[in-house]
Amino acid sequence: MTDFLQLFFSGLATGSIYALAALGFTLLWQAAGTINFAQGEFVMLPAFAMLGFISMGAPFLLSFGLTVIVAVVVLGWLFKRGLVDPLFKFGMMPIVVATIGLSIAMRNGVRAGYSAEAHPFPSLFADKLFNIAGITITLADVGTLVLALLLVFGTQAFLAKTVTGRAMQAVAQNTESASVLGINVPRMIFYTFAINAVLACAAAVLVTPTYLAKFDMGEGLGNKAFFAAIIGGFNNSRGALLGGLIVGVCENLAAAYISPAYKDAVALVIFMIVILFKPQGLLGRKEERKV
Amino acid sequence: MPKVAKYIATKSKSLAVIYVNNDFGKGGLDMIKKALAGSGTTIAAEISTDAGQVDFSPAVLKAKNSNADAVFVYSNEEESARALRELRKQGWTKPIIGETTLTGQKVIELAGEAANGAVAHVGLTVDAPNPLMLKFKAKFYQDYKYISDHNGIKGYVGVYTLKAAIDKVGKLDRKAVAQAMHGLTISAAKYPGVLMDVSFDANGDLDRESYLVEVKNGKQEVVAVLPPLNPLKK
Repeated sequence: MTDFLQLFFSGLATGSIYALAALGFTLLWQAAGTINFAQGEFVMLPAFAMLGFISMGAPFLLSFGLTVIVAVVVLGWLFKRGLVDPLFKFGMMPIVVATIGLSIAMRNGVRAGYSAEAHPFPSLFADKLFNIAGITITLADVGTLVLALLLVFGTQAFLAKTVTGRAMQAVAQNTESASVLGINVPRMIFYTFAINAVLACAAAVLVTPTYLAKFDMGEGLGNKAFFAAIIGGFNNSRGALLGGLIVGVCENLAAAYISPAYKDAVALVIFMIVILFKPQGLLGRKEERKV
Repeated sequence: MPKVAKYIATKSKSLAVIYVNNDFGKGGLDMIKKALAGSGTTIAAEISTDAGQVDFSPAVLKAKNSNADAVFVYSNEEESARALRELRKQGWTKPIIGETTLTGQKVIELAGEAANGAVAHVGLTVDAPNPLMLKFKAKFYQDYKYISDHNGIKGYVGVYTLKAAIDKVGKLDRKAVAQAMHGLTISAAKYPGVLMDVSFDANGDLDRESYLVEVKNGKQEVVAVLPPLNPLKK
């Protein structure tokens, strides 16, 4: 039983990492109606930006603040103006292809321009271990899970309870009607990308001490997060959390009780089962869209 | 690998092997199994992990449950660092042994304090108690402002090894030089650039002095000098 609980809690810690990245997918879908397959790289880039600011002598929190500003400009405004705006009118597929291309360019850009090696990343939490009834948990595991919960519920509350959040959702659901109702559509779409950039920075701070700052850190993370978002429900921020935790825990249990060789297949298997029996995801709601 | 197997046999009767599931890792697993055959040390668990794996809790749990006396970690740099962190997290107190990568400077940098106590067999280290090597370390640092790892030494030694082979052949003939490398013995007294005596067998496998290092306070420390399997007759 102790082994099971150890695996379960370690899985929760990994799952909360997936959830943070998955949150970006659900946010962009709910509030802008787009999918960004460079989401993993959107976490990688702020990690390197923070390392850059830290190496210039900036303290941790200042580096984070500066990174958020840069991310809002580059991953928010520039991404929207340079990629999403020109392609949005052509439908979803060009954006999907373009963001896959962008992810490859970002990975290789960092590899060529900065480093191909992994770099250690300072942790927000002290290096502290807790041993509870034979189960070892680090402060970072607990902290990541708690912050992931806060970010997910915060995002959900923002979208559901605030005027701006509801306006953002309205824009995603029907741009023309939203415009007729007096909603500033371009501004709402920019808000979505800006929030996504801020969430990516938060995810980078929490994820990178474990993943280590490396040009390809976003590759596996992005894939797992995408599966997690679909499993939980693409149109529900809480779905991202649930999907992430399910994938994290099941991966660990499968690696220990079936075979480590099948660990990476777990997310895919759960994804296929969910798609077959509940296509809208575990917490998602059915949506009708005109195509 | 035979040298580290000898060391393992003195430290444990059963060994858990955590390896990365690719050609490099599987090759390491096969070699350690072969080297330990008949040594009295049995393999208690063969634990496969993936390249890029982030969470090592199942792997470490399996190692713990195997009741092995020691764990042998054979993986890439990042994964080695994550394995070391998880071993520390789950309170592993038995010997952690590996080959060169496990105690490399990059792994120490990535694993932090969790690297302390890890022991590895390294073929080349700038901290070797060898005047030529220490001179190389100082000169390398003077020129490049960082301490060379084993790859830096390999690059340096490789050129002088080639020089010795070319000298032996007496002409720049690629095939003849490659052939001359097989069975070649190079003395550091004659070719100081090779830094230490080295010999190659008929298969081209090299044999030279090597080192057992332990990570102490975030730094590699040579704890034993292991002589060549077939020492040169002086």
